[in-house]
Amino acid sequence: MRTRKVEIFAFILPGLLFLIIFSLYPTLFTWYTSFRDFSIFSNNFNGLRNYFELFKDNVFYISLKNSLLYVIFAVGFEFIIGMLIALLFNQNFKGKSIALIFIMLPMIIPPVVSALSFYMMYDPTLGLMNYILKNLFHISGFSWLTDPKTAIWAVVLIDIWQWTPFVSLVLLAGLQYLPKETLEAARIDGANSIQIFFSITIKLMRKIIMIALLFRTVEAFKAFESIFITTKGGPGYNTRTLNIYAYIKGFEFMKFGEAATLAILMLFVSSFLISIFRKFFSKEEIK
Amino acid sequence: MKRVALYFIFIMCGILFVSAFAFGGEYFYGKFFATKEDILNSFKQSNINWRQFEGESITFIGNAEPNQESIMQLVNVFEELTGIKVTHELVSEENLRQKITVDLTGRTGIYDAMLIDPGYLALYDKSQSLEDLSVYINDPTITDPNWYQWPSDFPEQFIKMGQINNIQYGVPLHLSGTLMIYRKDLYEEKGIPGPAKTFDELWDHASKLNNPDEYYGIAMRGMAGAGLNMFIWTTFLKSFGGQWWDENWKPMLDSPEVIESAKFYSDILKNFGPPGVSSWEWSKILSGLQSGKVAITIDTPAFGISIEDPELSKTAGKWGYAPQPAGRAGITMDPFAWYVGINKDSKHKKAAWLFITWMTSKEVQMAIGGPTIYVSRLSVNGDPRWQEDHPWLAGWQTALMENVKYADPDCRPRIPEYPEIGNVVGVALQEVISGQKNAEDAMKEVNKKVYDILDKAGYYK
Repeated sequence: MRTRKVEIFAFILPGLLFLIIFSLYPTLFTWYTSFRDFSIFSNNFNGLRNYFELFKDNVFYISLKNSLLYVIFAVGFEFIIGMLIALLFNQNFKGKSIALIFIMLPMIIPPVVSALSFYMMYDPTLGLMNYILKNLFHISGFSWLTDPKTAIWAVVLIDIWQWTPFVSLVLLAGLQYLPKETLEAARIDGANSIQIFFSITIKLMRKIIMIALLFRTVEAFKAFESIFITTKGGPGYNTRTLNIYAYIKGFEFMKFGEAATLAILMLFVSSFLISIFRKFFSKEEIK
Repeated sequence: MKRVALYFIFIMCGILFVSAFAFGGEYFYGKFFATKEDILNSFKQSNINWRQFEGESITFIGNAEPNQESIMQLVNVFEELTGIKVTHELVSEENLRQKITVDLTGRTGIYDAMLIDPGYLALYDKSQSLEDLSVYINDPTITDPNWYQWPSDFPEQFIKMGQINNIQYGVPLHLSGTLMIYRKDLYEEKGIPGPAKTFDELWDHASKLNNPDEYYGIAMRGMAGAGLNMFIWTTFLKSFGGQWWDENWKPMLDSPEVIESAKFYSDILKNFGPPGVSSWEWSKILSGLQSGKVAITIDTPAFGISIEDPELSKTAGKWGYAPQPAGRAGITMDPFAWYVGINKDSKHKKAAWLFITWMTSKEVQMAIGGPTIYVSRLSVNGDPRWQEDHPWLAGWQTALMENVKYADPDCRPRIPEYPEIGNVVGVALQEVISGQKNAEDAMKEVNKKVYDILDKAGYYK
């Protein structure tokens, strides 16, 4: 028995070390830094000052709102569209394997590349979006990234384009493992597709849906390239999320203590979101 | 089948390998030095022992732009001259700031010589991260004053901009800032006699030259940032008679003059600028100029080489250059240059200094092409031989040298808090340009924010 435990530990050790060095230590150091006035020329203990200053900062609340808007709409649409794609690919049709490859492509492209590509497509005078609108639909184009009304949605769209394939893959896996007998029984009993979908499919896929949404929520919360490359948080503060604000505080103002405080608050918010998910998806039983 | 594929791959690799030799390795020393020996001999005429730090190695970090890339291609000259090994990195501006910040804050001394943005010098002065270069300038074993010609061969305002509290932290690599650039041909077409001398004329010209969907009257930086829209708008702030703060550091951004300058800047862009101009930064302006979509701009003179090159620009040969328009407080130019300085934690400070003198030497500046790729030395800038290849250069130099007379190194105040203040005011200005707020509300709000920033930093004790 002893040797088994040692073996197990030896196998886990590399991964554990990696996590400790690259995950645990930075998190603890960030926590530590958030209690300090840490900039390029100072490093003094500051207690809870950073936190109090942040709660008095109206830009913090704007950033929080933007982060939540981004997450809710990006993940929401990714879920709906992802589910539709998964349902489609759960059936057999001609050219399915090739179509699947194309659907998966956005996920493989580095986020920086897709952000840059969208940045060019969104250009009001030279970009593809306005070109299509003007020449095909004869509508005058939009200033996608610079109009305060459209900027945040333009940026959310980049996220949706890039990550819907991920959601659809996870949901497709869930759909393929559904018990066929249950579904057939429901069909024989006379239920139509919509009733089957909402009463049975979704309920049986509860855990898988939770996994997909959880992953996407945490990642969308941390979204960086799609915003930084296109708008840098602008116009004004319209697309400045918590993550972008933390970057600006750290690398433009050089105030690492305040940036760390933002990062720790982000940790709290995402933990809170995760706990909501788990409560919501674990409480109901399948009737 | 497998064997054929294998042979094919082998042959392709071979072709790639051979062609690398065909296209690589040619060095170009500019039109004044025919061979490497010529340029080496010029250096050897100075009165210092170039080989005194033989065997040492240094690391330099700079910005990935054409000027510096040209200099780095000549590093083999330095290595042969001195026997010092140079590791050089050229990265984007964002990366540059991040890497230097990490190195200086951690006091790790990774970079011996580094490129510095003068807007951050006050920060580095406060954190005591950089060497006082006068120690090296005045040391006759490593600087031959007759050869290096400091300070005489460099513009005075640019020397001052490399100082904080009279300590010289950096040597300027360039001579740049702001300049008014306009389409001479369109001016002639519309019968406008000359470039705008006042802001009223600027408005008038921009409106006459505004032909939406074909070209726009004027474009200037709208993108929020301490070095972006602030770079240009602060010249308006000063020319309109405004001030950042009074003698007691109380911010004056809510004064009528500053509000007027913000209103003018945003109104002229809203009325005669291209769509989306509130997020335009220099690369968009440059492509706007090159593609013929913009008739007037106030931005960096470095655009000259790119807009006059027929291979890069549709509008080559059509440009005029002039000093900026004057407001009630005259003309203001916002000077900018990249500076090179020495890390206080460097273990090869003197070797790094040799590298800096080499980088900013007359020889290297002549070799990389003089004012067609803008450089800092007055003698190189003023050399008339450059005009043989570039007829537009004479007008450009006259305009730039005239504008430099009005250079205000504190256009964007060089205090440690400027990066934060610049960002906050830049965002407010962008809100006005994009129509989210009017100038008066935006400036009054941001004035309070600036007060808070200075208060937190202890200016009002």
